[in-house]
Amino acid sequence: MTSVERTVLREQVKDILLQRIIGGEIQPGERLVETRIAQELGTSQAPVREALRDLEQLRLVESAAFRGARVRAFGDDELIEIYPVRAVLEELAARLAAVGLAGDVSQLEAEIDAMRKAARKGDLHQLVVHDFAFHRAMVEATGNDVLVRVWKTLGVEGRITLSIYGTAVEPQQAPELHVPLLEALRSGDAAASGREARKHVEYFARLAMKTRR
Amino acid sequence: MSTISRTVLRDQVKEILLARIIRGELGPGDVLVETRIASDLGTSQAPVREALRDLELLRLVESEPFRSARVRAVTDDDLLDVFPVRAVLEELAAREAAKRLAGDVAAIEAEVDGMRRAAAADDLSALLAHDIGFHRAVVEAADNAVLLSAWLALGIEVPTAFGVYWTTFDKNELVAFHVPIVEAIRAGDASAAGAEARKHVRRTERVVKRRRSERAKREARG
Repeated sequence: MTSVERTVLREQVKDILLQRIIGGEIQPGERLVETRIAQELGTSQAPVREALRDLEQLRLVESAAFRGARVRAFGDDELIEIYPVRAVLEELAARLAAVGLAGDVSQLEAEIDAMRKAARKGDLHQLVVHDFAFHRAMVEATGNDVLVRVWKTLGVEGRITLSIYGTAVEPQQAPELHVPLLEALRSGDAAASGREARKHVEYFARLAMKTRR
Repeated sequence: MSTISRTVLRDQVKEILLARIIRGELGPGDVLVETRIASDLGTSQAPVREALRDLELLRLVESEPFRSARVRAVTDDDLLDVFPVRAVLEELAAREAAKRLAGDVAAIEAEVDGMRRAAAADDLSALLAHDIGFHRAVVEAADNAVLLSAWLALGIEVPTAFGVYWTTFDKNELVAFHVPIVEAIRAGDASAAGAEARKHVRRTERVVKRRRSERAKREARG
């Protein structure tokens, strides 16, 4: 197998497992047995193992030595708790980035374009990748290493994954939600950028509250 | 040795090294040799090794493979990165704490009392512990696990900033700086609590900025 096919397979396995976790077919606390998943999907164990590792990085799955992987039982609390923290950190990031970027938003614009392309193709995996890359690029543009380090503890990628793979946001809508923030950053207006960043995060907070059962 | 006394020993070694770093007896780049510290303190090497690992987690100490640990050099520029992040996190924490505690500030007030006692006894290490304990208690009162882990990720720069603080302010003044935060939380006034928490962090930031510009002026003259 070429490494391209291998990567694709790993992403396919990851996507299938994600859909099942979000759809509730796999419940929190339920075990994810590598051999069983591999057999069911007709693949070898390696892509399953890699997919599980990806999901673990997204903090959707947890694994313990000798016990195998399980779907993380994040309570409603944890799902909701991230938003106020993300809002203050990204508001700060946008304010600092508006100054640091000095109007050069080409990288952020490229991520939005890549999101649009992915949405057209219905490629949710790439959509998440570029959505996350947009936010990371904004945080990194602050040049504040502490902010980057602290923001990374939030596990924003897992949150974006849940929003995109869940039914909360239409794929076509996702890139457009970033445009007001992009424009504020382009204008170099720190206060407006901060406000747009906060609004962006709070929009997803409201969606998360709504889908909370 | 029992596990308990082992843990205590490790904490004691950590406290001693921390106090030396804060007082400036150990400076940035100074080598921390396990065997030397162990014989100096009359312990075995294991608790020293563990204490150094704890200090590394706090980013006060850095080590490379096959080389001894060193006290990390934290520049004013590194420090200045911390303040805006700390300000937004502690503002959020104080707001939430004011809403959730319903006036019960006992845990937070206990840390202020601890600071007062430490200031009276001129115990720098205890003052540091209670100062950090105060801020941690506020963050914990917000009852948000994501916020707590983000705040903990601020790391060392936090205690180092406290070190800066102390060389500028009188100990009793330092304790007094925390009182308006307690009072706003006790009153359940979220926006006042948030504003006081932000002001508190910004005050330290100004000290570091002033120090940096004074240093720059000296160097320009020098």
